[in-house]
Amino acid sequence: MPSNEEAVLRSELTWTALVTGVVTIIMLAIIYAGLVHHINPPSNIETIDPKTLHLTGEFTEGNLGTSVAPEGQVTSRIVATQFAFQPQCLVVPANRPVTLRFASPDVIHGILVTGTNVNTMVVPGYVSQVHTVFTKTGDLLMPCHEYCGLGHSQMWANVRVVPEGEFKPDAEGRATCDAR
Amino acid sequence: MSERDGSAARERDDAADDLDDDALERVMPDVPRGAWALSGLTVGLLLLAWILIYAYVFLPRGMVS
Repeated sequence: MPSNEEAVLRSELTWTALVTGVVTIIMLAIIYAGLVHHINPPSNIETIDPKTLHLTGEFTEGNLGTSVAPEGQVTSRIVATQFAFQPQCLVVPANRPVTLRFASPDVIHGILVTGTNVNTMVVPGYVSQVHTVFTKTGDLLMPCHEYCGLGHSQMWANVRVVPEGEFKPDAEGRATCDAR
Repeated sequence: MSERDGSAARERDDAADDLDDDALERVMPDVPRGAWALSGLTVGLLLLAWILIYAYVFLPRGMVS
């Protein structure tokens, strides 16, 4: 029979090997998701002046919402502010690459789109950017998930994912929930 | 607690002390098996839950970067 010290040592070494195995499995799964399925944490670093973002540049009122560039890139620009998203409804096509860009003029907000892996914080002074492909159509809830003040629970928007054939931007390449 | 109850409790403690060292030595190797079973089951279930959510929730939700 092994001595008590030997038994404890063997037990600790076995657990060390077991935990190393578990961590290795999880790390390999994360690497696989990143390399094969392109699921990576959004890592855009881009600064913007929160004091003037509504006055000049891409986050002025006329630029908000979904627009399609001449080469076909779909981009949605959203301002997250206490306690609303502007615009409150976004329309995007299914099964096409979409870029979501967020900025905040006041405090830290956060967004997630239910049923998808879209999830990011929106920090004043930075542009948060998420690339994704929506595969299911329908209205997806996009709540603020970073406590931002007393009206936080009222702060949400809809992402309306429509079949590609029903996604009809206007002549300027803009698409809204009213007109699609 | 009355005087009688107190002495009864002491008698029970004394009864536990009647175990001889050999009997203790025989039973001690079995004690960690329960800890192993409980911790192994807990970690196993946790890993299984993680893998199920990874495979059936996280991956199907699609690409994001």
